[in-house]
Amino acid sequence: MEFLRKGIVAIGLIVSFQSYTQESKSLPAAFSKSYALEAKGQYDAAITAIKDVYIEGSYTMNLRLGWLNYLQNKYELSIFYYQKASIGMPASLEPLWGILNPLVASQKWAEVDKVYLAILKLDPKNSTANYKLGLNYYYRKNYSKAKKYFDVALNAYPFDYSFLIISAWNNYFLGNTAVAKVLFFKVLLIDQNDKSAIEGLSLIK
Amino acid sequence: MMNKLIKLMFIGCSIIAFNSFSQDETKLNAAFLSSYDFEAKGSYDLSIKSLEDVYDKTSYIINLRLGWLNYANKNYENSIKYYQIATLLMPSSEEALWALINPLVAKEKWNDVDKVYLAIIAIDPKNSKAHYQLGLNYYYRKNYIAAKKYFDVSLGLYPYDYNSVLMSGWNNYFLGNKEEAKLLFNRILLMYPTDTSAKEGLGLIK
Repeated sequence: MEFLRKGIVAIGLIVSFQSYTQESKSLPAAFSKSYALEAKGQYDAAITAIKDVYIEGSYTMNLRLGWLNYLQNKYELSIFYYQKASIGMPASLEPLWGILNPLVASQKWAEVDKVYLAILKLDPKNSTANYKLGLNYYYRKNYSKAKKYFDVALNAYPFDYSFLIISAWNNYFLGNTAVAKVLFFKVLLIDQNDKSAIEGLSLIK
Repeated sequence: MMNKLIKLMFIGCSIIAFNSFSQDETKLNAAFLSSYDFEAKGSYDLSIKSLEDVYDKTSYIINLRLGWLNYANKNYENSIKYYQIATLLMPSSEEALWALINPLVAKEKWNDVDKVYLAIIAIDPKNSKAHYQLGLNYYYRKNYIAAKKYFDVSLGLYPYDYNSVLMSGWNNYFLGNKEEAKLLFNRILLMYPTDTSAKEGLGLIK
């Protein structure tokens, strides 16, 4: 019985080794082919190149298929593959940043917010995610919520143009005109002719 | 006609905006403008002087800018001094810390560079760039165990990032984790099938 079990294990090892070597040989070739086809704009063929060797649990394949389907304007499929990559490696930010592209293209704003929140769960001080999420709330005129995220970005980069100007406007719309004025003024220290800051200051006066 | 009207409106807004400045704000604004002009001409000494004339030790922005201008002027000690003041004024600012690394690297003050990366990580614990760079510092000093700690964070966040994957490949190789190194070098070959570093690594493992 023990002998039989060892035999089965040995056969299993041989099979898995063979499939590993086949995979390790065919994968670089498939990726290489998909890059060449992508460069020519042949996204369908690039997708097929990966799908021919597709392994469902492969993070890199799912990530790549997410990207290629996005390029091919197949947003639902792109989202599907990025989600698979994200499930496969839940601590990775990469597929979360990737999935934002098809979600934005599909104008799924509530989903976009959820992805930014997922990024912030993994990387709470990520200034880009905080800024972008703040921007989503700002455009929906939810200035209180926007402030929460803009403040994190601005604290980390207090002399960054984008963070300053949007925080200034957000504070202006919240009625925090004194804070807005300070921020608009800081923008003018970066660019004295900045139209947006000049407009903001003229409204405060 | 419309263009003229827009321009007039803009000028009107500018006048209103600038009239709302205090005397100190107007001076500061002029000093920054002058410093940008001199910087664009490569006259860093004059650019620095523009700001020193209005220097306020409690101003984060002035200290940040003086840190930069002194760095551009290769006056690294002064650059470090001003950036350090900026970080003290705004302890949650990553901006000043990232900037401080430039003069510290120029002075080859590697221990201080490490401390700055650790300070960035203290503020922003999952900053992948800081983890990668700090890992790189330990790697070059052949402290592979310490390097792994930081490379692992950046690789965990970006498992398909070329730099993080390649450096983790080599770091694991030097730690004797050959299987992990092999996996990572193979991952590089999925990104760049002809990558010479990954191929070299795989050649050493076989």
